[in-house]
Amino acid sequence: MAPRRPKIDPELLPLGLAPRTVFVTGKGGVGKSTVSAALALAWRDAGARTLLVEIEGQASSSSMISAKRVGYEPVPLAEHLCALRITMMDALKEYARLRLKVKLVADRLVGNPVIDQFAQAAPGFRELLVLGKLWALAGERDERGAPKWDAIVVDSPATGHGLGLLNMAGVVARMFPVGPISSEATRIDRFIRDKRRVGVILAALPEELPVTETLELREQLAEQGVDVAAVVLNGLLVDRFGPEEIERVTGALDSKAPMGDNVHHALETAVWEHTRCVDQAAERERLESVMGEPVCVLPHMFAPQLSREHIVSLSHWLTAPGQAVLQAQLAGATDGPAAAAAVHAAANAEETS
Amino acid sequence: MTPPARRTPTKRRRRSGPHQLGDRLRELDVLLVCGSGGVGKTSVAAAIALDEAMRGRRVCVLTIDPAKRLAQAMGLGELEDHERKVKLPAGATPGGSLHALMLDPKTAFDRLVSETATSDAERDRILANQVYQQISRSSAGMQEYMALERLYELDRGGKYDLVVVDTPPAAHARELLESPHRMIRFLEGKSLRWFLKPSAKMGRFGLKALGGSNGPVVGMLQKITGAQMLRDTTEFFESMEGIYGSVTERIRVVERMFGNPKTGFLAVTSPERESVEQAVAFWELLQERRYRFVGTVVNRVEPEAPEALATLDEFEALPDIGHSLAARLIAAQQDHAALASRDRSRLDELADATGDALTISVPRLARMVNDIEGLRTLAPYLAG
Repeated sequence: MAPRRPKIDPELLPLGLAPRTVFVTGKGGVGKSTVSAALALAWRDAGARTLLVEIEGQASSSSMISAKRVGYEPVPLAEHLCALRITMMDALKEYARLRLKVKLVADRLVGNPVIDQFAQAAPGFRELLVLGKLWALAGERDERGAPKWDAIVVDSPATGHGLGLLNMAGVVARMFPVGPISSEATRIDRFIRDKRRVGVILAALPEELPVTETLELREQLAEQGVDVAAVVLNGLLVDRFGPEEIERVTGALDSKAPMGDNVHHALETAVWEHTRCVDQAAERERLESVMGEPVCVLPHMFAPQLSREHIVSLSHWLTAPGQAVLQAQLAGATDGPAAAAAVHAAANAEETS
Repeated sequence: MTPPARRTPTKRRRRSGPHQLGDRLRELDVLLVCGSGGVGKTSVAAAIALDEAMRGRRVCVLTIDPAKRLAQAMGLGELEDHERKVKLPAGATPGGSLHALMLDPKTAFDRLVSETATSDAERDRILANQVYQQISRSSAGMQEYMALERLYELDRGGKYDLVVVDTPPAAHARELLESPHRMIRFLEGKSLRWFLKPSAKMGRFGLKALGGSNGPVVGMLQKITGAQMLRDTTEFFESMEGIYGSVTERIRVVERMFGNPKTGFLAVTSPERESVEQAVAFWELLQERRYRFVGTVVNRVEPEAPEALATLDEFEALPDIGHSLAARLIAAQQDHAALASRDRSRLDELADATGDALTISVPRLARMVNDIEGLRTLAPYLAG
């Protein structure tokens, strides 16, 4: 019996985005895998049948959700959530079978030195294999003829290589205007630039370099006609202290009042955290002023190591209600410190649940 | 109660004996700074270069895509492939100088072709090849080697006492070590050239090639890719044929730099587990190859917290700190103390796992490093 199709709840859609295929990219170290895993979970929670895709040579985002080994075939991580890992060899094998229609002959291609050499050298060949696989996945149908995957989240390579991946189909289509590769590349390129089906999620940290890189990437993608579906600012500290409170804290530090080392450290830590919040706010403002709209934010997780519970928590923050709490807090529109404490408490509650 | 003497973050962890980073650097004329993206590698490389220049050495830092403001501070506006002199702040030891340049992989590749081509016609044919243009521009794998190529030129020039390389961000630092070999294997294009050349010359693809044992494979390849992609790629390898020998020779010379006793490797990591594990794996790899591993800089480390955290009643002595504020101060301290304890154990793990290599801890700073002054603030932590 086919599993019952879940119903999509628009209220719970992460980032307000209807399910589609998204490429999550950004500067190295900004948390692409974290954002990918949280987004996949959030879409699943909203009722979308979701596939989380890793690419060979990249970190494993599925390992943040489940310890299951992920291969070229979809592996269920949870109900309505699967993951797979695209490897070049398997993609080549699959593609060759498709074109040559003889399995045995196609399999001979893989591991052949001529093919290896060619795949290394031919411009865009490897990128096309990855994109071709994604295109095929996006078009898969279930027994009832409905799309098999409502949402596909691709944990993509960092900025430079990520951009290379996304524009390669177009480059190849222009370089080799005739032949089977050309029609393949043209079809994939059209898919990548179809706003209804494909978008890019730019992950960033509220720091100078990642924000600058995000803005540049956003422009380049616009030039290529690829839709930036959302920008997610990861690791945002929610200020637990108002500016007036920090004045009192610095006052106490300056007062030479006798205090234990531990109290001194607590006061210094608060000043550090507040300074960091102010800097982060400035970077967020810069990003939003260029973009002309608010960006989505994810709170910094005070955890020695991110666990599945943290990813679950982050997936909740990605929904409209979660974003509303965070945005109100960051805008300082609510009762400040108390609400911040509530956000922290909520995050911690998620951790322990 | 009397507060215990406050420990400075740099004095905490020193297992490496008397030799500190500065001593080790003075024995080197090339330092390769390696690590994955987003760990602050560019800043560390620039800070080391600046510090060595301040101590009187003639230093050049080869960097890749640094922060805009850092580039400006160093006098680099746009991507430029030639060295620019950076003005040193006051207090520099006489004789010291700092130059900086940004790697442009395409320019470096073009120059390699120009220098090894036997004639202008050969050079032009390669540079005009469509596949060459795409490959030399695309970063996959080429950037690493081209950074080494540029380093080789700088090192050979004899103008510098020390060249510091901020290597391209890689998923794994081993990619840098493997890049010369990969480059040779790639340019070789042996199998492709062998099987494709005859038919390429006939302008009709796949016919002659179908004769050999790989013939069917080539035929299939053509079915998959179309004749044009196959032809253009083959033509690329053909065009490289004349310079293949001298390029390979050059790459082997460049590769030998790795094993030079005056070449050192420095890993930069964050305190995250994956990052630290990578540094350990990198150390093992270098041990195997007998390359010189200087140490690991662990960046953005949470400063150590006091053993006993503050309690609510301890804040009562401070009249301006109310109950609610004190509660949040304590919560913040607890959060940071948890991170500090994680970072401390990561540093211990790293120091234990990497033998007599240095483990250098740089604390998270309140402000991002993006100018010469900011770079100077890193110096005391790096120097130890």
